Amino acid sequence: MLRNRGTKKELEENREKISLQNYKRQLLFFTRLNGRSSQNPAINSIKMLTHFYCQESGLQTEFHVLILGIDKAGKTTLLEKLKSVYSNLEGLPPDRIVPTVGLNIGRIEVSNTKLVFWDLGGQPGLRSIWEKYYEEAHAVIFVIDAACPSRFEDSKSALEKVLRHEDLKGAPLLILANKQDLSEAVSAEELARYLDLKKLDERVYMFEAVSAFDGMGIKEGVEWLVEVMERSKRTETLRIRAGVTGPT
Amino acid sequence: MGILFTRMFSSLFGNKEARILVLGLDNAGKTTILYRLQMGEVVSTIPTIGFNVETVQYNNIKFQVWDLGGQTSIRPYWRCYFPNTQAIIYVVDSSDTDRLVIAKEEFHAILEEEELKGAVVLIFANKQDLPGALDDAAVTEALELHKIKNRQWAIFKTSAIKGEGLFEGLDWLSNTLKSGSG
Repeated sequence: MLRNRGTKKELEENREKISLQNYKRQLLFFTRLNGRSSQNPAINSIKMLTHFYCQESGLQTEFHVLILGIDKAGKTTLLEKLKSVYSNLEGLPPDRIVPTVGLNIGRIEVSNTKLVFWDLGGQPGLRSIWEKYYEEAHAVIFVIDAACPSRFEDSKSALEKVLRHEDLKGAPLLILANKQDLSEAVSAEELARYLDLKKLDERVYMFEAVSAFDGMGIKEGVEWLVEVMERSKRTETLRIRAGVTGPT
Repeated sequence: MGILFTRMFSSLFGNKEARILVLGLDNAGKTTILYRLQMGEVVSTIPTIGFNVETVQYNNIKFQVWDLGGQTSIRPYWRCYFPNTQAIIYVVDSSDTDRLVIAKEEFHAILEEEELKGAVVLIFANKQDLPGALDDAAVTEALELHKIKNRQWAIFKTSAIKGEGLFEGLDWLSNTLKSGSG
């Protein structure tokens, strides 16, 4: 029966477990609170505190951003540019980038927010795995080669399919009119007009003209994305789900 | 000290070394791939009991490639080779559709290994020269590669006999290892 009391180490572990559980409960409470917009100044100040609390604790959310688009749109070039703009990593030069047949990952930090980018291959046969990543994604970047109008139709139908998917409900969307370094590239407005997306009404989205090659427009796009992700309902949903069922 | 100096020297000149494990079920084509990469020829092989190891110099990277025997009885010994591995090449016989389920299970068991957490994963959908071989998308599906979310992976259609796809795979490996974000 003596065994029942456990060793000191076990006790300590147990205590840690309990405090972690309490902590999770608090966090859950706060995140729920955070979701509601409130006129009450008291609640707002709690919100601010929680925000601080979450950041300090290291349990702060890591945002998963999917980079999608048809082949040759420039997704991997974008990823490598992001790495070189936001981290000390050099990033591959564009001439060394080969078509992706799988998953590339980039981790960066933008104003204290951790971002993980998932860059998936865009060839038609490989697009079937995109949806396997939807459930855990906080937001989507959809890359389009703005200098190649002959493939706009292909991009449009791929994007419409992405938007229809239930697992991406409420995910903020950044549509990039890429390859602005080429003279024949159309503007973001023109691309938006061409795509004429009907299903965008309720979604938070933005069109941005960028060049993954020379970096133009990238910072603006990413900063917008971080801002909307922090406020998005989907982030809250994902956070609660992770808090309830996640292992730690 | 000598080793340190050599390392500094080689990193200065862009020469990197990488330890690669070639894994996969028996008869997937691991040994044929190893020697195709190393010598550029097709050698006749017998089932590997134990391992073959060769150095392949490619794109300024010295790949130390370990080809481990794939038979059921010796798979438990794979783990002895796991420490300090930068990449895994997982070879699948794309025409052996009956055993893809086992290939998948072995694959995901490997990914669970703590010592391989930092390794990038390259999949060779091998034996594309055989009739009925599944393509890269189908092998991706069968191996459930989408479950990998925290490390980089890529799949290539290969034929070790014809020498197709292998160096494309090594290109990917050297790029990925150089950009240092496995």
